[in-house]
Amino acid sequence: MFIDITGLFYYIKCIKNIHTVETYTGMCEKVCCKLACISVFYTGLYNKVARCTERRIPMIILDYKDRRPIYEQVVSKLEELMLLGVMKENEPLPSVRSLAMELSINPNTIQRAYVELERQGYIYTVKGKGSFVADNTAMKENRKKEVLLQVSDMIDEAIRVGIPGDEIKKMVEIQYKAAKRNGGGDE
Amino acid sequence: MIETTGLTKRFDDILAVDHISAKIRDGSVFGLIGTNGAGKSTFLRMVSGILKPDEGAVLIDGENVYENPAVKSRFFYISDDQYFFANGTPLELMKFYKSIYPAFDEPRFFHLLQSFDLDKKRKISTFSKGMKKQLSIIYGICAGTDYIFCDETFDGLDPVMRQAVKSLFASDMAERNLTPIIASHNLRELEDICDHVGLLHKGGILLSKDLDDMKLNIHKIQCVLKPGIKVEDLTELDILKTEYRGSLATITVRGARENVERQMAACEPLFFELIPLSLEEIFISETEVAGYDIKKLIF
Repeated sequence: MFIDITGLFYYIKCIKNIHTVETYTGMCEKVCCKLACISVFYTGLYNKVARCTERRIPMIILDYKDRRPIYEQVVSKLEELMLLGVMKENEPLPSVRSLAMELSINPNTIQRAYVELERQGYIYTVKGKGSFVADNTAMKENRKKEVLLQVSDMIDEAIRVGIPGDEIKKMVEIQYKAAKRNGGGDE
Repeated sequence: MIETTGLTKRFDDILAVDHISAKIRDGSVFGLIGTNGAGKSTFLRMVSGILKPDEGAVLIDGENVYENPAVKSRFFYISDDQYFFANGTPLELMKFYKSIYPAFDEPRFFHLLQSFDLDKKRKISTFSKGMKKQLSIIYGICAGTDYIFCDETFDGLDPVMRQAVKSLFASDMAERNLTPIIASHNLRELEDICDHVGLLHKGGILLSKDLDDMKLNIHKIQCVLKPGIKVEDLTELDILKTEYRGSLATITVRGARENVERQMAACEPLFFELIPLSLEEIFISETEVAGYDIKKLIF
């Protein structure tokens, strides 16, 4: 069975939300959820984040059910904000103190997250001025590769649970159209 | 830095604190957790110089705490059962604290009192339990000390207040390097705010570690092994506990994530998943190893 992974990736990217995925018949629920999660990264999240910044809602919302250490959550959320372009190059990041107060967490945790982001090359620090968003074209490419990898993993899983290739393609197409109608996706 | 060496306290024949040696770094949040009667409060009372240790010493930046007012003015201790002057009002108590703590920030105190909606002229004895805790925290923050000791202080606050207090601590930590030391049973709460955790049990310290190291070094694995292989056969792993539900095994192991993953993959299980533990689960599995088992309490 042959599936055009790159094509599928662009389709999946545009799937709008979890409900439409769930209602699609013939799909294993778990696979559906995973598909939705990835698509939300590119579409729903973008809108959500944009809305948050407009309404001055905290830029990061911690998930207290998430078992990862908090600094990892902060790192990944800030990464997403930067990759989605919500935080533009050379834009200042909030100070450690203000972010710690906003989230009611330990400033050392934020500091640690910033150090990690700097190590990964997402941000740069100017002494006495704070941290700024760095040029992240390379990271964007990396992230795309990562998502692509996840998609291929999911296709593997779809095959494993016995979903025929035609059905996957059909589902993706339906979702792509739905997403287009809702104005999602930036392609 | 606060350093205790071989700290011991006995009450008659009860050994409340048994040779605790710990270091508390400046500018980090130290969480003190422990089973009931583990000696958390006694430990804090010795660190704040209220009780005299039977053995060992408490040093704050190299100086002994007991009966040493100069060192004592560097921390604020919020006791579990707070004491307020009879018929005293927040305003009067503020004057008292101001005479003890020279760096007391009066404008900030009034500002905080207002934002916490506490009346400065009402008798403290008419305050509710939670309001008294809020008041103590405000005094503690405004005292301008390097350290603040909280003995189950968060436990009496509502969720909104807890967030507010954590924000206050965060700002003071970033601004003037405040070091909070928090004893609590609310592990979920500590997990958000602590850098370092000390776990007490029966007067001794079971572990004292950075929270992130702790989380990285203990894992739960859910797996279905190949038929014929038992969990006990995985001798490479440092297994703390194994539980079976049919063929699904839940194993708690110590070790770095990569190692555990590699070893699990090597035995080719039908399925395995690594789940990081929450502080609560770490607490339970660590105290269980030390013989504190809920099953003993229930059955």
